[in-house]
Amino acid sequence: MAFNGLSTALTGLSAHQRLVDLHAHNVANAATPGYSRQRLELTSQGPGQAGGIFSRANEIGAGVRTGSISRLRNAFLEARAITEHGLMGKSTVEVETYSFIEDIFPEPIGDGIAARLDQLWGAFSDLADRPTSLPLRSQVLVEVEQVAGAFHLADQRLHALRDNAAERAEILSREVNTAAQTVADLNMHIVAARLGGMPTADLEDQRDLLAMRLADLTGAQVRTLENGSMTVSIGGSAIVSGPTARSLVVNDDGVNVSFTWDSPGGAPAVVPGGEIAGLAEATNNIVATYRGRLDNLASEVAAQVNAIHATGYGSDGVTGRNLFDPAGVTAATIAIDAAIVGNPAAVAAGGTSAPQDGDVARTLAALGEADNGPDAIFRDFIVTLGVEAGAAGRRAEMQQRVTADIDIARLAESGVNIDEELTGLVTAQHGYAAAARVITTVDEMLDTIINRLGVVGR
Amino acid sequence: MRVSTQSVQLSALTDLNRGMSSLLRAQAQATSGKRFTKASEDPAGSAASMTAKAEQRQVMRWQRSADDAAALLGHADNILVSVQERLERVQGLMIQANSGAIGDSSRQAVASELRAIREELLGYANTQNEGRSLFGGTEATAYDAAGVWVGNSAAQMRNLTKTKQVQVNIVGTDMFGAQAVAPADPLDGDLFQVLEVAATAIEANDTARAGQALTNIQGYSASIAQAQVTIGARSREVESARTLLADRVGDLDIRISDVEDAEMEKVFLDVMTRRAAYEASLSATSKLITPTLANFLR
Repeated sequence: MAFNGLSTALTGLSAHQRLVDLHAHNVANAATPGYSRQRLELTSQGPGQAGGIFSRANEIGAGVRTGSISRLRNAFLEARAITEHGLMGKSTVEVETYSFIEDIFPEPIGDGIAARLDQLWGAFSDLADRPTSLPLRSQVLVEVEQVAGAFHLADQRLHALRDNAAERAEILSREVNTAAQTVADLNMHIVAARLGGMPTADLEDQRDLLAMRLADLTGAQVRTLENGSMTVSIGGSAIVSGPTARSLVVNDDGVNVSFTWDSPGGAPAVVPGGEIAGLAEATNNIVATYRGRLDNLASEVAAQVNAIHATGYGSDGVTGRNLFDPAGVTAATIAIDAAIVGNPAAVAAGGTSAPQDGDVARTLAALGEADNGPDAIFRDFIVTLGVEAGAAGRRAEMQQRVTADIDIARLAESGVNIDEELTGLVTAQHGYAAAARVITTVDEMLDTIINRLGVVGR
Repeated sequence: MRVSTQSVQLSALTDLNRGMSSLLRAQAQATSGKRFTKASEDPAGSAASMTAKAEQRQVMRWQRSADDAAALLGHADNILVSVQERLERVQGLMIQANSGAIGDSSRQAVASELRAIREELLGYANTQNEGRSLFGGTEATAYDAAGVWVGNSAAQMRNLTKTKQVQVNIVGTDMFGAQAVAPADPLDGDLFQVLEVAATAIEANDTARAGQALTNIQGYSASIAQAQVTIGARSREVESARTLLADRVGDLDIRISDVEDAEMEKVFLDVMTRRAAYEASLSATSKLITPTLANFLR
């Protein structure tokens, strides 16, 4: 019988030494984003080769064998997190967009287009009471220009919002392409490292972190293949496949934002989620819708005011004139009619050319309370904005809660628990000390044999 | 369930953020005094607030119109009082002249006073308020220098409410008569024609024609008295509308405040409660995050 204890204790010493190293690695990365805690796979070593039928080998095992290092993470939670992050990116951008639009229209508390329209009705009302007053006619012209100015300002700000969203989508697409390229490079390294039997845990962490960022930006989906390589796809087509990556191209034609792949060049891409999808939704849909509604309001204001104004007579006795330029009215183009600029006498107050007739101005003033008048349309505009923005806000809040819950759950699974690491450290330390004590014991046993045996009769 | 240092941190941070943003919302209500500042926070309330504000501004426009109506009617009333005074003087003069108790030279004096009064009355008939003729319909002049009607009979209306309007002018022809086509005998003409006839008749000592003129003048005086009654009725209508409109503005102030303004007691209570909750979670988090096993190992 040999003193196997020495070599057994040696495996214990080195295993516990590695355990201490690994706990040190885990503790050092307790705050590293995307780090998954690692575990050293330990197995007990059996008693050598299986013996023959009649011969008996050593029955006691030969110590501990250290295996590979594995990452502890829950693949199911990770997959759900990828999906939820994609949804959250989109809903967050949408709610931001609505909030910007609400800033552009400060109603109901602040004064915006509604206040300007009200000033116009007030000017008509005053003119109706004092049709002979030229200053009050000039006042009408001023208010008409103010109304047009308020529309221009709102439209410009909506337009700037659209441009910003499109530009931000373009900038984020560059981040997507860089991240995709890095994932492809990591794929190459991981596959090669695996073939060489090298540990890949830290590389995989880095890759998972990038995949999560891609999900945040584009709603990408992820699949890991047998050989360790990761396929990332956006809207069903792969942006990263093995060691190669494609580029997502954002095209802005000034109206809509669309996506294509760089290879094959110009192939259309679908971005289903993430911030970029939210930005596309903002430009193509949300802002476009509100610009359309604002255009509609502007054209209603011009048409309704003109229709009544044209029936009236200016103080110069001429009838049939427009107050707003009637050609192709949008929020960007609504303007005072060129023929009436600087000519307050052309503002119509009466239904006849009599100098003290204010009937038409009175009818114009009553537009403010008309059931389908500009004020009513604008109120509807604000309420619709409020309802849609509120719904988007609630969706985003719910999505944020779900995403936070998933993140907490997966961090609980993959994150480092310092208490646990310290406990492990204490265990490893004691294990190391015990293994060292075994060696001392065997040493003393050998000492007994070598120095104490065979001294009888000396 | 397993926890990790990071999951504890994230979970604590999420909860703290929620507490903080809830505290901020209450704080915003407390500092602005408004229940909502954006339409999305209360779409129904926003609609109510915008409707009430629009109505209030509309009511204020009606108030301005009603003030103007009161001013115009009051002005017309004052003018008509003066007109009546002058007509009483005319009647006194004519009765005196027709009694035969005065001589030729006195009759001349009466005639010239009548002509002076005629000019004065013509001025009253063409009275303007802020450049607006009171009695000329929608024309700037009611009677020209010859006493011929050049106005029209259009009504000048002022809105008192959405459905209620009041006429603020009395058409001159209703009081002073009209002479669209010159009548065969000026005696059948308007007040100014008749006054001229009266002056001529007194100069000529034509008592029959002067008597006829006096009768016609008395008729016009009655018409003017009728107009004064009409103006009085309309003024009362305007006054009651002004009271109602002022009440309405106050009601709408209350309604807007009901919809928009936060209840301060509730808001302050909210702020205190949320602040207490936030501080509690801060203190709990600090106790949870700080210690690890390292604090307790030798």
